[in-house]
Amino acid sequence: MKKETKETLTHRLKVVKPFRFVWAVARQLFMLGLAYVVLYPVLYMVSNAFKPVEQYYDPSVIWLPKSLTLENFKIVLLIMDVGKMLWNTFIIELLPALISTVVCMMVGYGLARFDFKGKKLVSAGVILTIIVPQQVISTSLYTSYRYFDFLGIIGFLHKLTDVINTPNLIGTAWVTILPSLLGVGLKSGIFIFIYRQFFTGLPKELQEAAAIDGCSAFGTFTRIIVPTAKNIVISVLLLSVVWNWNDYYTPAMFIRVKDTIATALAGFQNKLENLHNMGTGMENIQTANTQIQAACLIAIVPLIILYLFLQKRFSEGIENSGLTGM
Amino acid sequence: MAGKQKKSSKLIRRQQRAGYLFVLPWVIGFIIFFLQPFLESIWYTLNDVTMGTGGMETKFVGLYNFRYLVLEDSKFLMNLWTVTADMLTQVAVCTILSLFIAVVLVQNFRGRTVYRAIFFLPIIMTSGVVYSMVGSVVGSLGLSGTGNAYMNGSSIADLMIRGGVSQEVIILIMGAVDSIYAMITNCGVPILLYISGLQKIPESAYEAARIEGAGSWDIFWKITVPKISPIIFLNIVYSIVDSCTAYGRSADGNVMMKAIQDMGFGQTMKFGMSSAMAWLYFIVIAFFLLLAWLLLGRKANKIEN
Repeated sequence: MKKETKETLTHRLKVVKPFRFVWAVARQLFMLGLAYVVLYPVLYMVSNAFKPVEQYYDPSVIWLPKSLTLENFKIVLLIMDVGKMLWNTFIIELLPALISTVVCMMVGYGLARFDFKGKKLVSAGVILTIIVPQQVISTSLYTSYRYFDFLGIIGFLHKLTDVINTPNLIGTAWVTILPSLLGVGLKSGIFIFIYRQFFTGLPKELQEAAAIDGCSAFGTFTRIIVPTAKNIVISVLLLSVVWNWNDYYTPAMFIRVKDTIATALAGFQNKLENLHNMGTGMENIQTANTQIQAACLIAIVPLIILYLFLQKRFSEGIENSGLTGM
Repeated sequence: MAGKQKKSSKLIRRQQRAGYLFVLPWVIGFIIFFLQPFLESIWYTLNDVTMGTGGMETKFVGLYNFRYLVLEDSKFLMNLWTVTADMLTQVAVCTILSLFIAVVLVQNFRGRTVYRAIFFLPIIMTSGVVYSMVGSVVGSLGLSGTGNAYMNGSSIADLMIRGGVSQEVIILIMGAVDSIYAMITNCGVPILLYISGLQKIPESAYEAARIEGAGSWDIFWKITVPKISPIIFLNIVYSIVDSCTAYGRSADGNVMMKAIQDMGFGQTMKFGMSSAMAWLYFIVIAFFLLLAWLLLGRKANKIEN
């Protein structure tokens, strides 16, 4: 009986082998093709960003430029105030990204590990923040920011002191910092959900042992739970940084006056063209895609570097997140 | 015994208090930055809303906004149809293509770690303005192009013309190639989730099936798919939600989001109308989410428990 199965197995292997080889080749081709599709924009950017403008119009130059130049980047730096833009991006996007990573972890832990009345309601609220598009609430949100009144407290204080003004948050970084401090920043719902799934999967004994040792709930969280969550924190951090860094909607809608990377990039082409048309002595510089690609490269390289650094921990984090079953 | 009970009820109360403390910031934030604007936007849909000096000024108009959008505005329903069709395509393609890519990526072959790293790139690229700037180049000129202005979109097409391929076929192929780019850029997160789910299926499950004599095809449908059905559901939800946040991707962005934006903060400044549009759109999204939940989510949840 045993022998028979062995024989049929080897027989089948013989049939399968040529098919296996074909499959291996097809797989490589398929993956190479898709990788080319995914990498194409990056290759395109790199190829053009370092290429002199004339060569962009030279049919004999395809991918590899005949000579390399930093001229495109110089023009980008001339048009965009990169230093200021990076600073804005740091305050408006990166700071909230970091805050979100921490605050959402606390909320996710609270939902995963404590029983309290209204927990289901909170979970439902988190899901609601994920599925409702920003545009549904943004008109009303705009007024809330314009005449900011923290649960009526500011208005009340002002009534006491006879001043009617409520602070105007439009155009300030508070419109991203404040929500992220309270766990409702950009895509916070997704992060809370990820953390919740992860913490639900942790053994309950960890928390109980610490409680018996007289550790407070918060002490348990910072000293015992957080260290076990390193990879998941890195996963959330990376997603949070990437999504915030790239976010165009919030700064364009509520800030406007300060350019972040995303909004600056969106306006870059117009600025470039305006400079040419206004006679600012820049007419001799040819407007070209090469400069736009250089600007794109500046915007995206920090994220790629960050990803390369965190890549291993990121995928480990997602794998153990409990999002995909334990 | 009584003491023990007292102690445990004290523990429960302490637990409750700790739980509240952990979620309290969120509750405050939810009320200020979500619930209040959310409820207010419902009120806005029934009003003619204009921007006044001390906030929005409302004038009750009943269901006028909705009636106008559905009966008189010819563009609205068309946009709604476009975004819904786009969404369904994205969901279908993403769920299937990502699964296929993920199944290949968990196999043991040369270069798979590099490929995995590469397939994360769309997550970095798609959520940004960069996507629309590079994407428009890719979209209009064809992936078949190269990094040169004159050669773009022509190299492969030229080859095919010389090879005697008919014009229609070339256009068809070029269109397919270009839409592959658009599709695959949406697949970053789904691929990631599938990979991690596929890796959790124990090797023993496959081995047992193989010993029983099941072929790869049967194994895929009878073991792989049921095991990862919670992730299929998760990805469908993700794709539905993701399809409506595509604002800012210019030409190929979400036309509905653009229309909502233009109606409110554009030149017309009709905030009530814009809210009504947003709500009708949200209802459509919610309908499909509910449908996904009824068809897949409930079952997936049962398997998990």
